[in-house]
Amino acid sequence: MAHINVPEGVPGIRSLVMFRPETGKPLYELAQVLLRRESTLSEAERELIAAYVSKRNDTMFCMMSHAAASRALFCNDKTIVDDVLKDMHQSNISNKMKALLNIAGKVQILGKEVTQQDVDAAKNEDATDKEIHDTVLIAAAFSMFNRYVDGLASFTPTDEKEYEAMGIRMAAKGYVPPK
Amino acid sequence: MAFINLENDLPGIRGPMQYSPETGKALNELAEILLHDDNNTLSRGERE
Repeated sequence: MAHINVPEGVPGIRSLVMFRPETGKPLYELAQVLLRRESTLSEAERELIAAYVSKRNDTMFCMMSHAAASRALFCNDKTIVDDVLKDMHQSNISNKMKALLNIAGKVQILGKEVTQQDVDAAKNEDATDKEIHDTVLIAAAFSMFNRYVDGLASFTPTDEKEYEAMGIRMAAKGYVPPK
Repeated sequence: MAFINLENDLPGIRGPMQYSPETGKALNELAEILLHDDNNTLSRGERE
């Protein structure tokens, strides 16, 4: 049961956005721009950063749904998402992505945890300023989404099949606020 | 010194907002509704 009277049976952030569409609109716009605009990071990679941060914040809904979206977008490489979420250092993801995930993980703890060495490590793997910017903002925005979803105890489905369908929909349609 | 070249000297969050206007617009709109919109039973002072 959510802490406030949101539409029943609607999962995660959708129920909160239906409760307060005025704030929902810019929140969905932010997700759409961060995860779907033209970028040198693929949509799959950006969804993976979102899932990685959500896992570290222990927000089941966002972690499961964005991991599912990333799986749907990494169509040729099904195990990469689970490998990264298990232990990104042991995974087959690029060194650049490892350096960016390291920065995202620092932002999840506290912005000031990010050091010049973390940023230099990413730049040494050819991460651009824009990629570093977007990584930090995805990590910061998802820490906000995670706290929003958990702070109001919004409904979190436990059936993995539901998330698979959700991920496919998110991969295909992006972030459109519920009516 | 910022970790990346923001291509402007604006202070605080305004620097990254100008660097990335698309994300800046959504963030601004969110702050506007949360803090500035008068249609709210919490005063603007309370929300700030």
